[in-house]
Amino acid sequence: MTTVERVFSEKVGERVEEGDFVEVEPDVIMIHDGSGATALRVMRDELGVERVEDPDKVVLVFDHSVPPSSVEAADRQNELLRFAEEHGISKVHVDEGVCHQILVEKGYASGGRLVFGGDSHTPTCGAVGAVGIGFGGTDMAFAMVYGELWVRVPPTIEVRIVGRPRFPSTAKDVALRMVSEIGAGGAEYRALEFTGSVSGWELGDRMTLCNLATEVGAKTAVVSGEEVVEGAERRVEIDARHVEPCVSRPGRVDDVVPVSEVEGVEVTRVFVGSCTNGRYEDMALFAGVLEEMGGPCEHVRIVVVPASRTELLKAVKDGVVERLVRMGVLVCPPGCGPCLGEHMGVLGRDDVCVATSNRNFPGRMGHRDAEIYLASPVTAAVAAAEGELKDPRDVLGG
Amino acid sequence: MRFSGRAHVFGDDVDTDQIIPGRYLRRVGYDELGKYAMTGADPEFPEKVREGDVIVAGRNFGCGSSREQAVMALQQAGVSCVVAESFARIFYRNALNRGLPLLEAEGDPREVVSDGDRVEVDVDGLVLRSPSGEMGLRKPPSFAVRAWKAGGLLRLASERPDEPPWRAGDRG
Repeated sequence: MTTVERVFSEKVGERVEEGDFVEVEPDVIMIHDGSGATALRVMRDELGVERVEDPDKVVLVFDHSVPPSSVEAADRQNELLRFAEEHGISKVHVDEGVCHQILVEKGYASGGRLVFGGDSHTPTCGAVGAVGIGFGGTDMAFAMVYGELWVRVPPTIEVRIVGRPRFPSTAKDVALRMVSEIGAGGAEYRALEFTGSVSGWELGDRMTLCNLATEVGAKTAVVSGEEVVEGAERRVEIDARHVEPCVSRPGRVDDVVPVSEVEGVEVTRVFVGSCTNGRYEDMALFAGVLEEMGGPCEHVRIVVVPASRTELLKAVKDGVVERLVRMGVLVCPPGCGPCLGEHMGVLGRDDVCVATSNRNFPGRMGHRDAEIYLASPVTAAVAAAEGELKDPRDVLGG
Repeated sequence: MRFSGRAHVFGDDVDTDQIIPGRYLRRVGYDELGKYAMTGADPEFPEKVREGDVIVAGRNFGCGSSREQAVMALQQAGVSCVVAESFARIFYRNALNRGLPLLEAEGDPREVVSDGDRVEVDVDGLVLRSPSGEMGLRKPPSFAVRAWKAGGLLRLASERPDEPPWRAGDRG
């Protein structure tokens, strides 16, 4: 029995297995200012029923457009706040950070819990053993109104990670390698269960790994406490000790190459943040490498967006924020920032950006001709200092 | 159930940022999304597309963000259905909820369809026809066909909102 089958069986109250269609009540229903606004519109204008079966299960997070980027965004957020008030939804987190960070930080997601989230990166909470699945706005409306959704129990691909990445490689490089091994749609309708060394990794690194599972199409991802996943469809093994610093080339998350293959590409922008790599450790690592290299290259504009208020506070308290600001870095409020191309650093036609986030689709962060390289905070710092992509091992050793 | 219209051909892994770029999500109302449909992949698509047209694509259509606006944008632009080699799961659910039929072809449908071809998508006969040939379609789940015919699970739910539409279907 896989971890995912076990969690579904517990929730449904009988033994279920991969391929079964189940109607299941989640432990948590997470909506944000995007999916929540859509869900609310669905209830009011299309379903004709505005009801929340169990308001205690609902977590509302404002992260995509904070502070509001448009009148439309502000109006929708105000409406969502009134909705929460009217229906007794008390787990409301405004301007506190990215929903996936909040789910873990506040303990809403924990081992064995089933989390239905109105966001594709909901599998991130698999880092703490929760089974998180992403949905669209109508499904979130259904989940709130009926308290359940239909789901097909997915088969599992076991991803065994051997050892730890060696600096200057990081968990992000391992995650990118995983994406390239499995491919953009390679885990469609499937769960990823991580075994091996991962259960001993830092929480943030586990979140980075589970977060990128979305980019191979995985329905969910979870760090399994098991030695081996019994009943897995197949197993992929990645030796983290030998993963090189790498990037996803513009256009495709699974087009992963060692940084050494793209050396010399000129960079105009650097974005450090998002649910993938916007935590304290990421900011501290970025600041440290950037300082070690003598600060940023003159023509590179850098935006740092903390994943949450808690992470920002840690970086304020130990001086990371001051060091970043002194180097000319724009430190933005916690949230999704420019990751989805809405505000706080949208890219123009000629921009080439190194981003620590999770998507580099054409147009993702702005103009469709702008180029986005996905990388670790270390590779991003080296690019920020050099003004071009460069193998971190050449300048930092390792 | 069958659809006929001109085909607009796209590639593999067309993500929802291409279907409706993020910068429009909170700039325009939910009813104006059609004007920006597919502009992340082809800025002229909204001018080219006609009511009833069909999108044809490769693998993993609709991957990426869970934004349901992707389905709304295609429907508002007049797209009748999408034929692809495979679909991303959140997009598939969103389309099921909103009644946009998504048909999986038995291979890569671009082998028999070129951009601008007039195509016919025969959902009951499970075949995609174009001037240069035809390709079989995979049999969709029966509950999906029921939902598409009814205009989507959301439409079904609005007619009988007291119980989840997936439970109501059991008795129907």
